[in-house]
Amino acid sequence: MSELTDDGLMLQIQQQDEHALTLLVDRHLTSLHAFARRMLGNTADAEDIVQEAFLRVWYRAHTWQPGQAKLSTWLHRIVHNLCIDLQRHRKGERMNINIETIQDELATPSNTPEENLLEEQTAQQVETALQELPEKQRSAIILCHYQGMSNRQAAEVLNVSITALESLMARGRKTLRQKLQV
Amino acid sequence: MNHQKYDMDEAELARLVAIYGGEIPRFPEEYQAAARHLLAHSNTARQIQQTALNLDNLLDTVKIPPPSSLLRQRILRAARAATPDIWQRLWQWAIGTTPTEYLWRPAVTLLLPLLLGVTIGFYSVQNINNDIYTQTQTVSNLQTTSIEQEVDWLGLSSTEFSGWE
Repeated sequence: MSELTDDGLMLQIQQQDEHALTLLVDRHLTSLHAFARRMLGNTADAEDIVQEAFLRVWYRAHTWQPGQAKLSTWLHRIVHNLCIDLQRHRKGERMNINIETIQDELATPSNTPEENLLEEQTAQQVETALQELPEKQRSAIILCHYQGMSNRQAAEVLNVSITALESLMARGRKTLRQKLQV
Repeated sequence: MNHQKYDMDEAELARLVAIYGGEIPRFPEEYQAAARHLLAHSNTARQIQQTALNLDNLLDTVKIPPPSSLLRQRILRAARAATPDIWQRLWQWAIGTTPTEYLWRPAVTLLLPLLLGVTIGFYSVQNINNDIYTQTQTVSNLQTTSIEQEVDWLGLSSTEFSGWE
C-alpha cells in the first residue's frame, strides 16, 4: 500500500482505512508541520493545527475528489485556513514567538557558540519580520519559498489568481528587504 | 503546455527576482532558460540576482526541526478515537459524499420510507380486501341457507331455537 499515490490513499481513507491514514500522515506530516510552524511562529499551536487538519481529512475524506487538486495542495489549504482562523481568533495578541525554542532548534553542533548566537539572532529577526507581514503576503512567501510550491499551487491554496499571488510575493519580499535591511 | 521564453532583459529579470527570489529553479518554467542565458552574459543581471539571493539566504536561516514522533502518535490516536460509528456512516451515506450525490442521496433517503409506507399500505389493503371477501362470502352463504341450517351452523338445537321465538 505504501506505493499508492495520494489519490489512492485517499480512496482507502474514504473507506475509513486506518493504515492508509498512517501512510498519509507519514508522507505529509513533516511538510505540514513546518508550514503551520512558520505560519504561526510557535510549535505548540502548529502541532495542534496539524493534528486538527489530519482529523478533518479523516472525517471529511468523502469530500475529497481525485483530479480536482493535488492532495498536498488540499492539505496545505486546510492547514492554512486553520492557521488564519487561529490568528484571527487571537487578533490583537502578538503571536508568541518562543525565542528559547528557536535557539534550541537552531543550535548546530558544528558551529561555535558565537556563530550559533549570531545565527539565532538573525533567524529571530527574520522570523519576527515574517510574522509582521500582512497575512496573505506571509502565506504567499511561506508557500513559495519554504514549501517549494509552484505559483499555480500556491495560488490555489490561497484561492487567488497567479497575478495576485505574484503581487503578494513582490510586496512581501519588498517589505522584508526593508525590515531586514538587505 | 510549456512555452519557453528566450528573450529577457534586465528589467524582466528584476521583475521576476522581486517575486520569486534569486534562485532560478523557483521561476516559472517558461522563464528559466532565458534567465540563465541573460545571467551568463550580463553583469547587471548577476547583481540583480545577488541582491535577491541575499534575502533568500536570510530567509533560509529560519529552520524548522522535524515534528516529534509523539505528534504522529497523537494524531493517529485521535483519529482512531474519532472513527465514525455505524449511525454516522449511515448518515454520511444518506446525505451523500459528492455534489451529485448531495442531490440524489437525500431524495432516495426520503423516498425509502415513502416506498416502505406504500408497500405496507398496499399489502394491508389486500389483506382487508381478503377479509371483506371472506365476510361477504359468509354473509351470502348465510342468506342462502335455511333457518335450520343456520341453527345447525350456529350449533344450536331446534328446541333451543324455538324457545327464542
